[in-house]
Amino acid sequence: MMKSFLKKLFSQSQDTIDEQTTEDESIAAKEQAISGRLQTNVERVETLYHVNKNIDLIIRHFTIGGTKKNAALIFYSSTTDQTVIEMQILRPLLSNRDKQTSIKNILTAQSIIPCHKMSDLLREIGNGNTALLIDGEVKAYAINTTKFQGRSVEKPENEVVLRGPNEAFNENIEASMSLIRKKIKNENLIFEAVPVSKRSHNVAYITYLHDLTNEDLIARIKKQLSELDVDAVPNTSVLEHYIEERPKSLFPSILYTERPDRVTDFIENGHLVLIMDNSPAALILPATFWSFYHSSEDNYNRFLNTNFTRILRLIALFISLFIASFYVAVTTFHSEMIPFELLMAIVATREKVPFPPLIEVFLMQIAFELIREAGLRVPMPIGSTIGIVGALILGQAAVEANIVSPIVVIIVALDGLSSFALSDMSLNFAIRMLRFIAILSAALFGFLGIVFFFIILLFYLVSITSFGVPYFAPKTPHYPSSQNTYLRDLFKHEIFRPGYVKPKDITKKPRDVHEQSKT
Amino acid sequence: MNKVKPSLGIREYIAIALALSSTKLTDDVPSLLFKQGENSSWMIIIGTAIFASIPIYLLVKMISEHEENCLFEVIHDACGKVFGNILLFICWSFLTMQIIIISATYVDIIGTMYFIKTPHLFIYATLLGVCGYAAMKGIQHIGSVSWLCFIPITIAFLLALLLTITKGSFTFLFPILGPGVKEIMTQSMIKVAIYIDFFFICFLATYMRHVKEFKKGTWIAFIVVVFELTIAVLSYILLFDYKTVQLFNYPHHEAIRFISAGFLTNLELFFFPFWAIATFVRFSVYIYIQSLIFGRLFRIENSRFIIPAIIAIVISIGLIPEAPSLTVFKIHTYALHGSSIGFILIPLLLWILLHIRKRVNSNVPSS
Repeated sequence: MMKSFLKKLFSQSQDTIDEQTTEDESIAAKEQAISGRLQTNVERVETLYHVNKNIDLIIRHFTIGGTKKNAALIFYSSTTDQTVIEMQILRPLLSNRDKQTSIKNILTAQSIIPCHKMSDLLREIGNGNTALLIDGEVKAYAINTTKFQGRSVEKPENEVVLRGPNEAFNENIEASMSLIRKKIKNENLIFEAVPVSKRSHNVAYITYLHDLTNEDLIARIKKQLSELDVDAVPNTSVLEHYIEERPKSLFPSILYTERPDRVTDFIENGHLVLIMDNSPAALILPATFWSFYHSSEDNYNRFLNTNFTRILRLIALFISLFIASFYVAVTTFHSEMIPFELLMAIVATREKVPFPPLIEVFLMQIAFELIREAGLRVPMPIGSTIGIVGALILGQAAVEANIVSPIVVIIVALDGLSSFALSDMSLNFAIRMLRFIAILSAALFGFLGIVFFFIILLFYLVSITSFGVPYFAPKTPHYPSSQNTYLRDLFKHEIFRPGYVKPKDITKKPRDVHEQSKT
Repeated sequence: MNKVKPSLGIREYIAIALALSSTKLTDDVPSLLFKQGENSSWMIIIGTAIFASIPIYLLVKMISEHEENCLFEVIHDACGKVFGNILLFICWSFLTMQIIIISATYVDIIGTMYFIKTPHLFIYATLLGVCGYAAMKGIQHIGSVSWLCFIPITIAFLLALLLTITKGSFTFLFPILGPGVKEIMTQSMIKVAIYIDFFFICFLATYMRHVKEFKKGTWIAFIVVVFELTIAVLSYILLFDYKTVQLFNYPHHEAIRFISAGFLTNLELFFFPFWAIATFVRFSVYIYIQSLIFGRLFRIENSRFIIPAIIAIVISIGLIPEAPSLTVFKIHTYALHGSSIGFILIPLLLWILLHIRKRVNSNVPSS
């Protein structure tokens, strides 16, 4: 064992040395300044980009009209707009007759960035820009020709609302920014780029209102992001793994949303948002229990409708957590609690079932979780099969075969239904997993077990924080806010921004204006 | 966005105070009154409240006038280091005794009323284990949980009360003075330790955000507790009459067995979870304060680490009495009378000593 371990260690270190040398060479090549000789520059680019293997890197040689200088355009055919290259770069350059004028005056492209180092050039080409190298010049020009392929702005799929805007983020960062800017037309809205990965050069955009969001929070996130030492962070879902406070906790500390309107709502309350290219969703932080409990529609429904839905959601949360454990506790320990007629009905159906309630409930719960997971992964055309399998085989047939009693089917169905009422996926997962612990504690100690479980859960929940904000703030500990927690107040009564994010300006609108509107 | 300093708001403080004191109506404290108080036991609650308001007033006054708003400092200022520590040790012993007796009572309630087959050791260990976990989380989190659970518990309690009173008969209240004014007054005097939790909760004053909130919170909680206890004791008399209720150890649990609402005939298990949550909060606060005093006495910086040891001691002593329904009840009576003396005397003593010290100090510079 020792031998193999040493062998492994040795071979590993050998590999590392080899990798290190090639990496060092490549870093050295990238750090070189742009040479005055076109041929040298092009050769360097060819080596760095492995041109013989890389099919979409195009190097176009030509001679500029008028000045008669040799030049080369370097770009990816897959990430650039060919028409722009032709109309705004090639054509003006070739048809130029003026011998004295500068490049900036010839090109009609929107933006031209001079690059003095090879690494800058590589970055710009990677971003979809076109590089222009001219013989005799010790700098290159990066011309904006970006055109990445992607889908257009579509409807949100996971956070559906009946009233309210129906745009969702897509994988294109420009579109995401545009969707946010469209909603907040304020010069204080900042998109600050922070590089988050070393190899793939992914960039996260910290989005906040400069005159509102707490400086310490911004600094903290910036520091956390810049300290990330990873090769690639492809999107916000992965970014969440790296920056969340408790990766092993059941409860999320960052809100993940695909709705720009939800994002702007949080930004306007002093929160901070992270967006990235290739991400159909944004990360909102800090996030409290309430932000997971609320849904995006709560802002759009009328006052009473929202509060009715919120009460329903609260009931759903408790049903989802406790109904199965309640059944186990009642049938195992506290049968005297049920009204006599109902008890007789339950006993009569349970008479033929060979399993104790715990096993019975576990079986059905796992079956339901399977249907849910399979339903999510199954290809669309055979999706309806899942429904048939679920309803017929697991519901009816299991009861007829005396594997489970009908009341368990009702309970598991109710349980599943309630868990769907919690719109946030992270909270939904947490509740689904906690439910099993609740069932086990009910089987051990009945109601007392459920209370044990609940108290421990509650103590855990009040003790955790999301970026320094207690999970149940502003309910407890109390903070000045609009008390948008279990229920929502009328919008015109909402005077404060949530105090727990410590915004620079806590009042939403001046109090006197509010008083005036009353009178 | 630095970590929030552990602190208690007025809501959390009141919720803690109520969890400590008003859960008394569900254990054997009402039965301790019924023996002598008969159908006027509810007057004893009010009588004790009048007596108890003196030490509570003195405590609140001393703490809010002290610059650090800390009972520990008040005790040390008044008695000096050595005697202060002796006094703290006495308080700690009172509290430990109270925790042992009350936890034994609660385990007995669960063991005799709800989980008859479960061994007491299991109930004891899990009950205090969970409370220990809670206490180790710190006072801010205990406060948060008690505030989050406060409204549901209050609603459940009010519902139980409403159902009890509607089933009761008002004629059971008469003769209104019961055993006579003298007996009521005597009992009010010796049972004043019903409110001794207001003494222990003063140790938390230093965690309050503002001393004003401490003052306000204590008095609000005190008034609500007096009201709750009075109504509860009254409701037991209305439902059972004093002769029957004298036979019960835990009248609250008998009462919720007696009542029904519509088609639901057995409601006790509906109320059980709420009662259990309140119990957990109560013991977590007790254990927290106990570890706090212990840590202060023996200069342990991170006193929460002694909580497991405290729990082990409480369980091993609490399990000693056999037939707890009888023995613990008896011990509780004596403990209540004993701690009444301490509850009245300690604040008075502190106040007098502080007064004397102040006088001496003010005389020194002038001379």
